[in-house]
Amino acid sequence: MSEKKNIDRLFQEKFKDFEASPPEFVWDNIREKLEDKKKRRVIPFWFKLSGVAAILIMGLLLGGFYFNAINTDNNNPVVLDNQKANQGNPLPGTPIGPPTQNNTKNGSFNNDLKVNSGLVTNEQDGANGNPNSSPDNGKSGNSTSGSANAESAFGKGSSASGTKNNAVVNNNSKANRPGNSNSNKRSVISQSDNAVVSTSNSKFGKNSRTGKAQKGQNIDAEMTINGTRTRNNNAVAVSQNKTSNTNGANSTSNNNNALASSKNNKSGKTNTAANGIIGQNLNSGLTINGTASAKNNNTVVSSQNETGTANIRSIEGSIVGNAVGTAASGVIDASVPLNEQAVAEVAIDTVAVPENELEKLLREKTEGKKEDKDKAIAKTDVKDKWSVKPQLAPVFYNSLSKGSPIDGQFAGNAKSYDNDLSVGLGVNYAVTSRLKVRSGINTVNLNYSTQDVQFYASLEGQTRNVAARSSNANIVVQDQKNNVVDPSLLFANNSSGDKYNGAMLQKTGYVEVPVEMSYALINNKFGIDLIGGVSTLFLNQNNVSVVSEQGLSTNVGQAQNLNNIHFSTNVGVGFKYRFFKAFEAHFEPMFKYQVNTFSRDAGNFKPYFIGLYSGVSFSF
Amino acid sequence: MGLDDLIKECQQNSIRAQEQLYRLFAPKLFSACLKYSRNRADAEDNLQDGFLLIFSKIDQYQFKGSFEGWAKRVMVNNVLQKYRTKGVFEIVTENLPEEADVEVETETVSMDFLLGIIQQLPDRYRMVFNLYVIDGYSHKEIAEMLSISDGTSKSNLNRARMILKEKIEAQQGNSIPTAK
Repeated sequence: MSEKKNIDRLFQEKFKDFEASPPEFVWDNIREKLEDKKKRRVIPFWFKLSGVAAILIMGLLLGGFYFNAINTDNNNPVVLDNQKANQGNPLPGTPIGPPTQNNTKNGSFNNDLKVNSGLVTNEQDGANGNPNSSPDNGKSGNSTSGSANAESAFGKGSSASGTKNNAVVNNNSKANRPGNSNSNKRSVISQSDNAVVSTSNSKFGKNSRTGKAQKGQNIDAEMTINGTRTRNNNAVAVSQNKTSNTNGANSTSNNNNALASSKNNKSGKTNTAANGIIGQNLNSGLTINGTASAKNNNTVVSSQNETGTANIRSIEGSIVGNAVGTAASGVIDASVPLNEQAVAEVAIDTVAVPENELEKLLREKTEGKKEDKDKAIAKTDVKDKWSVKPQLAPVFYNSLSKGSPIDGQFAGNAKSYDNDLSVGLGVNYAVTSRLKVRSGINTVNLNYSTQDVQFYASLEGQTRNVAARSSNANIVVQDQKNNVVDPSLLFANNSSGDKYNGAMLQKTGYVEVPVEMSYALINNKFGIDLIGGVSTLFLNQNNVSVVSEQGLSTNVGQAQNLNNIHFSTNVGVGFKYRFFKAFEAHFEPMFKYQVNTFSRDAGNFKPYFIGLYSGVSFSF
Repeated sequence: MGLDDLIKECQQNSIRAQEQLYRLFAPKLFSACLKYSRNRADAEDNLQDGFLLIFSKIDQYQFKGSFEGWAKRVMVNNVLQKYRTKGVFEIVTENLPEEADVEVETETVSMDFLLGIIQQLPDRYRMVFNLYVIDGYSHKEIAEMLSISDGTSKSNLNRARMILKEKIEAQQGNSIPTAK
């Protein structure tokens, strides 16, 4: 039957109920990919966390560097301390050592080292000793022992001097400190390396994952087909790819040889980690070959042979390859090029993934209504980007180590840390629904008291690191165990009558301006955030006072070694509950480690505070 | 279990539900892939990629309109995307007859033959012809989808018609004598 027919109608009729069943292996492939994807779903979560963690670690490490730098600064006075101690030891005391002499001696030390407390203890040593030896002996003894000790302090930090070695022991511990701080530094460095490496690794991980999850599937598909079907171009190259793809690390293809060589270039952890990644990336690289047109296949395969990691991102392999090549050369240097590479990869990723366009196409062209809706949603998102939050927090102050920023002699004394209240206002800006940048302003008072101290009024003595207020007599504070006597008090013939036992209270107050990021792990009505960042603390209160056991209190002065501005590194977890549209209740325990609090003589005092911030935020 | 429930389960990433959904829609969507692809192998690839895309985007399905329509759009867009990025055929706009009638013996023209000649069309012609003739999109819509102009779409369609007509006539010419 022949009839004249419009060609359009012919096709319409024929294809109206056209159905065709696909071969079974298509579903098998899909299933494989879906299961693969499910397994990998965990990675981005950790990746994002590791990003936050990396920032925090870097912050802490930087803090550590600062702190150690301050500690090493402290080493200068150590020599002086030794001299002090030894002045007492070889000649048990210069008796009524004419104050003028002592002063001249001390004066010379002061010129070198400018530590006032030298005066105090020196005089005390002299006053304590038996009135046997002459002032001349005293002089010579001082000078020789001084030099001897200077050596010992630089050397092993010896135990040369005799019985009254409190001060020397102290010194040893101090003298050791430079060593410690060095080793700390080293460990810090190595840590930071690890951190850097691990972050970059995780970046790799992520890239390879996204590559696979988004783009990879399309392409993998082609590959398998290629394997079974042998395409027109480059059948050899493609099938080679396929074997390495399926066999993974075990296959003996050229690609993997290249991997092995890259192993040799690198060392240790980095290596294994990198290799694991290479394995993955290889796959994605190869898959991209699959889709890429014929000419790419050859070039990419060859680039894989040249540099183990170069193949990671295939088409633009040469760029990436170079970056990785340099990264392999040195562990420390690796951080920079690795980052570069990461960036490069990201860039390539975005180039290589066309799905976004498709998505757009889908929404725009075919679902006009939905688009409107999306816009509306986007609008509401934009609307709620900002939020303010008045907050209140009990603050628990403490130190990570025994130490005293006032004077090393108080390091061993018991300290009680006051709990105070921090009040402030927080501002949040939502970068995405999960990621927020936070700032604000808080007041925070950090007070602690040093127990078991002794204090007395003195015309000449001073408490170390404290600038006395202007009044007739300085208050000298010392450890009860020291039990040394101010010679000026001897003159007054009034040995210990005016000494009081009690506690020394150091009060500091700050205005804190935090800059933090928070990432929402859970972001529903109830949410959990991870928070990290830094705070800048501006000193606005500085006071040292003493309280006697009888409850008498007097002001000693201001600590001289507090920086006007210092920083803290902050880590915390936030819990929130949205109880009404734009209102959220927050509870955020934060750990804030203070960095660079003291300009000098931190006395191994490593303060931190924990704040339990709570408040209600209003978003608009 | 209704289709909506099945889709909801797919949104939860249940492999079992995904398989059921695949079994339900694969034949229809595979036919679309066959029409829009160069050959059967490509169509299988495209079906696989398209389904993966559907599963990854199924969260965006709002349960408004038919799921089949939505899935087909995803599928077709995926194919268009693929061929759109490969090879550019810039065609001079010509004045060609709007309608092309062809003398055919309906019995002798097989489904496979028609599919074959569609697949043999250059990518752009094939896409435009499928979109316009079989799936009923307007030239304006096609122009947007393929990032081409209305005129190019019309010109491509006419070109496609002419090629198809020639091929059908050639086949008729060959087969009719042998049939007689």
